[in-house]
Parts: sequence; structure tokens; C-alpha cells
Amino acid sequence: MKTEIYERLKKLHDRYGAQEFGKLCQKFLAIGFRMAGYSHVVERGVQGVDVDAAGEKGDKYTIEVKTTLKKSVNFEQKDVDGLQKKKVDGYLGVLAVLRLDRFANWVFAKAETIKIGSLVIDSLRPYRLSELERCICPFIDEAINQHFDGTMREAQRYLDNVLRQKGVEVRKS
Amino acid sequence: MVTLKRLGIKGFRAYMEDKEFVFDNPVILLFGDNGTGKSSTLNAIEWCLFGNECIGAKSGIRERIDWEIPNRNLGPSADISVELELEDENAHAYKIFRGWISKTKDELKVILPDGQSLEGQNANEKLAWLLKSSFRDFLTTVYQHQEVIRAIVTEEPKERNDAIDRLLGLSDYRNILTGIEAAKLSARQKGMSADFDSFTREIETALRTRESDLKDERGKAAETGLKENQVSEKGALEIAGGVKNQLLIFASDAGLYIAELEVGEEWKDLQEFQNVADREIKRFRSEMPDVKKQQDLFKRRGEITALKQKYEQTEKDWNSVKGKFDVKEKESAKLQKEVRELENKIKNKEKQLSEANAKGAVITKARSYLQLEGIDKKICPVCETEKPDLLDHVEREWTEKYEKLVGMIEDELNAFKNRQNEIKDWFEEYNRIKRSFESAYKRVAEVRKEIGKALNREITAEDDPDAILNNALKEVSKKLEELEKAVENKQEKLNEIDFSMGKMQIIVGILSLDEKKRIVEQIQQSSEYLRMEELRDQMAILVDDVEKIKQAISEASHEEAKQKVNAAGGAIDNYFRQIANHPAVTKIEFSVTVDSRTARNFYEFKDQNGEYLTPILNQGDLNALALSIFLGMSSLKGATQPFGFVMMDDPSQSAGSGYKEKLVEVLDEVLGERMVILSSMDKELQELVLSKITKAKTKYIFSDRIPERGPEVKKE
Repeated sequence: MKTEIYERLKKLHDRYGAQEFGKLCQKFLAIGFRMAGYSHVVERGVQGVDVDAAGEKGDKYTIEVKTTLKKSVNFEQKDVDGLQKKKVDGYLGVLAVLRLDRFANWVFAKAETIKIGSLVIDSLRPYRLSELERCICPFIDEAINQHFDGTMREAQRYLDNVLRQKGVEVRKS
Repeated sequence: MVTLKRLGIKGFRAYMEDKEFVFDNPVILLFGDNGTGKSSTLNAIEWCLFGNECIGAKSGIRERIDWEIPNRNLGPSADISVELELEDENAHAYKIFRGWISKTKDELKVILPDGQSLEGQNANEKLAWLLKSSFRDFLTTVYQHQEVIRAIVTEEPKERNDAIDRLLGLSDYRNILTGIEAAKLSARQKGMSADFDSFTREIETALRTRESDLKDERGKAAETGLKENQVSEKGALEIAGGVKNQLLIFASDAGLYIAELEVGEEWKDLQEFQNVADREIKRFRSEMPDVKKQQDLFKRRGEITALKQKYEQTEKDWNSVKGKFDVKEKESAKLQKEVRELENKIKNKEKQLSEANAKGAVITKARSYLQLEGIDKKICPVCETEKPDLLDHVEREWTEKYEKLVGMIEDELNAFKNRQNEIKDWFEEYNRIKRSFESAYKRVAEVRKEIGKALNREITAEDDPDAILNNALKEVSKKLEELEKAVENKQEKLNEIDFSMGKMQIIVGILSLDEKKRIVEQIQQSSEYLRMEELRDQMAILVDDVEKIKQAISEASHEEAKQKVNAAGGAIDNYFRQIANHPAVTKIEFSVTVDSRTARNFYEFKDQNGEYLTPILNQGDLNALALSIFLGMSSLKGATQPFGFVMMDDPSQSAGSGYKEKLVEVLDEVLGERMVILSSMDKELQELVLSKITKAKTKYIFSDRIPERGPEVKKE
């Protein structure tokens, strides 16, 4: 990731802590999908899969977001179950992982082939959706740059407003 | 099923001359001692069918690694070939001809039943179609090879499983699995990740160093009073513009020439600007007019001070000599008068002495005369009168009057002369002092003249050069004092410009560090870095795919092993019980599972009670087991076993009589299905075969092998 993005994310993490940081990243990701042109984006603040995004070409993703400072993340049964539920509607389950590290980037991996447990982020490489990453990540960076100051001030509340303004469905329950 | 009809061998391994074998009976026996060419005969069949596949490491048979096809006693141009006549299940005859060209090359010809001859790729394809089998299958189902048999008797599970895999024709799977493991892709991937991590750590270190340097430089910038918004390219360029203007004004005020100063359009141009400006500031410091004047005055002050010191010293020297001279001068008149008087006195005394001497001379002569012999010393030589005691009188007169007088005169004269000499010495000293005095005076005059010249005025005798010089010094010092302030002011201005330059330099340093940091940061966005990331993804995909392939191969190998074990299990059980005739074993359960650790086939032999068999089998039993597996595999029909013959090379090695007898019984059974080509040096086995095998036999006796001729073979 670009240094400026890393530095901004690090400031957010230092300010709000790991859990809140994860929520903020989830919202940045939802904004990124929206900015990339996905017509229907849902961001769930509380339960269920974190983000759903459906494009006009029929591409649909249901995304479980994980953020970490370490080299691994936990992928749990409840995550699989959540992703599975949306599969019937034609959604492709995606595990989106961001390691907060100067040299890390978002990894979007096809979730259906991933086994549950503690996952070394590098082990997701074979299942990466590189095209999708290339398409979405620049918009996530743009969202971070644009909304950094507001997020530093008001955190989720600010980003929820941004999401609503951009036409993203924000579900709180 | 394909059966053998005839074999022709030329120059192959042990063979020199052309040799022909006819397979006209269900049993073909190749009897003879060790080293007589039996194995070469079987190898010839194998090579004709499979060519280079049965040679070297790829054959999977260790002893074939350095195998040579041509007989060593033949020349390089000799023909080496093997010809086989085969017949398919419809009694169609095919001729297969393989000629040796080089270690890696041979030529294959296939002559079809209609006489059509195929070569090259067509011949290869036709032969593969006819045999419907790989070399590996041939090895495990047709050509019972001792190396494979030997491996099965080992107690090492890995070796045994490997051998049974080979017997079942599954080596290719196993080899692929081994190859996959040997490739160590997973380790390579980890290594790649480690290298990449190490690379990123290096970048991170570089970035931290840059950040730390930047922090230091920004601290310096703050200390010099630079505001945050000034620490930018724009800020640096503005400062540079200000420096340029200040320098131009300074040069103009000071009447100095100034070099062309180009600020440029970006911060990188400022380094050149800074070099030029630095040079100009240094030059201004030394070349501005006030400094020049100051330097001249310092020089002037030095000159005057030196003159003053010179004058004072000269004056001091002159005064010192003059004192001495004045004293002498006063004394000299008196002494000159004394000199004159002394001269008169000396003259008088010399006259007196001369007179006294004249008288004395007469007296001396008179004495001499009177002292002569024969002279009457009483007669005066002048008056010639007798004078008693004349000589005594003369001598007394001489002594009492003249000698004393002359002495007195001489003393006085000497005293006068001594005084005269003293005065002469005095005058010499006087003259020396006089000369010194005159010289010192002359020097004083010269210095005065020098002072006059230096001060550009005449110095008369009435003038006091010291005072004049003091005045001149005061005047120069006053001028210097006035200049000092002006120079200080100008230097201060240059210092201010220098300070601005320093600020600019700090900003340029920060911008440069910033750029270096950005360059390092951009590594992540570089195409090379992204390519590396992509390669890591591809490597991960490859490792994942290979793992899947490994899994698939393992499953396929296991599936095929299971099918073959199921298909041949009954026959293996039957043959083993017949050959080994083990009292404790009434049934063999041959099964295969997958070793969960290695993903390879794991074979198990259990007895009728489900107990593991291998721990209770001796070497002969294990040999029997291996042979049973071979024969069991040979008994398979259809696509699994397209060959209508089996070849057995010395199957009774280290076997007892009972075993051999049972083996022959089993072979008699096998003969119901297939032709058997049996090679043996074992007389007991030979006897048993001849007496107990119920099918017709053709016997080839290998009696001797002469290197120049090859094997001696007779058909019986």
C-alpha cells in the first residue's frame, strides 16, 4: 500500500484501536465498491457478512472483512455460514483481508476454497481475486484520502454518513 | 495377445555374429552357465520392443545405468540390430526391426502383415498400438526381473511398497510423486516469501532511516526559524530569489562584478545556484573595496611601523657612537700637541745619542787599539806620549762617563718612543670611532631620506622623524578605525545572505531526503515490485495446483493399485500357496491402503486370520511372494496384459528344491495361458522343467561365450 495510505490507516488504528479500525476499514471497502461503480452495496455494521456488492454486469460479491496487524487471520465457521447463505442468491463469497503493514495490500480471496482456522495471509494467494483487487483497491485508497480527516474526528458516524450519501445501504441490525 | 515367433540378433551386447532363435513351442528354454549370453537374448527382445526406454536411469533398473548396446569387440561401423517376428491374436505376423545408431538414437522399422514397411514416427505408433503396453508394464508382467524381485524381499516398508508398485506397473505414479517432492516447491515458496520479507524489511529500514534524517533536518529548519510552509520547493525558490537580489544589491553598492546567478525553476536547480552564490559571497568578502582599502592601510601601517623601528634603532646606534667620538675628539688636540713635542724630544735625544755614540766610537776604537798585541799601552796613539795606565783610563772613562750617559739617553729616548706609540694607538682607536660615527651618521641620513620618501615629504635637519612617523601612524590608525565599521557592516550583510543560503540549503536537504524517501516508497508501486507480487501469487497457485496434482496422482495410483490387487489377488494367493507351501498360511489377503503421511500406496499381506504376513516370512517365502505377484500380474487378461508370453530370468536364485519343484508346477499352469521363455543356469531347475513341464519345449543350450565370436548356442 502507498505510504500515505499506510500512515493514515495507522493513525486511525492508533486512535481507535483494532476493533473500531476493522469497522472503519469495512466501511472504506464498501465506499470503494460503490465508487468503483457497484450499483448495490450493503454494509452491515453489526451482524452477518460485512459487505455485499452487486455490479450491473451481474457480478455479485458477499464479503467478510478481516483486518490485522499480524501475518494471519482467523476464518471461522460463522464466517463460512454467513457467506454460504448468500451463495444461493448468486453471490461469490469473498474473504477480504487487510494487514496493516507498510508492505501489505488488501487481499480478496475466493472464500469457498478456503479452510477454516487460523490462516496465514500468504496462504490466500492461490485464491486471490486479483482482477477485483485491481479494480477496487484504488477506490478504497481514494476513499481513505478523501475521508481521513472526517474519520479521525468522528469515526464510524462520519463514514456512515458518507456511505448514505453515496447510496450505500447501511444496516445496523 | 501378442506372441513371439522368431528373434534375430546381430552385434547386440554379448552377440557378435548373427543369431536366430525360433519360438516354435510353448516353452522356450535358455540353458547355460552364467555369462554365456542368456540374459542378452532376453534383453534383445526387450530392446527391440522398447528401444532406449529400457536403457539407462530412466529404465528404473539400477544395473542398466551404464548399459552398452553394441558389442565392444565390434568396430564402430558394425551393424547392431535386433529383429523380432510377432503374431497377434488373429495370427497376423509383424516384423519389428530396431537398429542401433548411437547412445541416444536408434531406428525402428515395422513391417505389417501386408508387407508394408513403416519407419520413424509411424513405426513407433504402430508398435505402441500393437503392444498396447508401456515398458513399465512389460517389466512387471512379462519380463520377471531379478532387481524387482530382490527389492520385494526387503523388510523396509518404503522399499517394499516401492517394489510392489513397480511390480504392479505403478512406478510412474510413484516417480511423479517423488519428483514433486524433490522439487520442494513448498520450501521454495517459503524461501521466496522469506527473501521477499527480507527485501521489504530492508526497504522499511531504509524508509525509517530517511524518516529519522528528515525529522532531524526538519528540527534544524525549525531552529533556523523556517516556518512549515517555507519548507517546500516554493519556499526554497523564494529564498533563493531573495538571496540573488541581496547579492545583486550588494555587488552594485560595493561596485563589484557579480557572476550570472540562475535560480532555476525547481529545487534541484538550487544546488548549482548555491555553488555559484557561495563562490560569489566568498569573493565579495575578500574583494569588496573597503576590505581592499583596509588591507592597504594595514600594509601602510606596517611599513610606517617598520620605518619607525628602523629609524629608532639607527638613531640609537648613532647616538651611542657619537658619545664616544665626542670624548675622543676633545682629547685629540692635546695629544697632537704632545706628539709634536715628543718628536722634538726624540730628535734631540737621538742627536745626543749620536754625539755620544761618535765619542763612544772613538773610545771603543781606542780600546780596541790598545787591546791589540804588541801595542804599548802606555803610549797615547794620538800624541804618542807616554801616558801611564792609558788603557785603564780609557776603559774607566768609557764605563764611568760614556756608557752611563748613553744608557740614560737611550732610556729617555725609549720612553719618548713608547709614549709616541701609545698615542699612535690612541689615534688608531680614534679613527675607528670616527669612521663608525661617520657611518652611523650616514645611516641616519639615509633612514631620514627613506622616511621622507615614504611620507612623501622632505625631512630636514630640523625635523624630528620620530614625531613625524608617530603622526603618520596615528593618521593611518584613525583611517583604519573608520574602515573597520564599514567592513563589519558589509560582512554582516554577507553573513545575512549566508544565513539565508543556509536556510535554503536545509530546505533543499529536506526536499532531497523527501525525494529519496519517495523513491523508496515508490518501490512498492514499481512494475518490478508488482511483478514480484504477481510471481508470488503464481508460485502460490503453482504450489496449490501441484498439491492437487499430487493428490490426484496419489488417488489414481491407489485406485489402479486397488484394481490390480483385486484382479490379481486370487492368482497371487494361489501361486504363493503353491510355491511357498507355507504350513501356517492357507490364504493370503493382499490389500492396499494410502499412507496418509506420504500419500503413497501401502501394501499389506495378511494371512487367513488377518495377521500381518511379512514378519513371519523367510527370504525364500518372500521370493515366492514376489514371483507370485509377478505371475499373478502376468495372469491378468485383456488390456492389462496384452502379451502372450512371459520371460523369466533365473527365477530359482537362492531357492531350495521344494521351491523349484513348486515353481515348475506353477509354470506348467501358466503355460496354459502363455508361452514361457525361461533362462536358467540351475541344473536342478533345468531337470525339473524338462521332466515336469507337460508342454512341448524348445531348448537352446548356451555352452560358451568367446569374446571374438559371441555366445555358442545350439538348438535341441
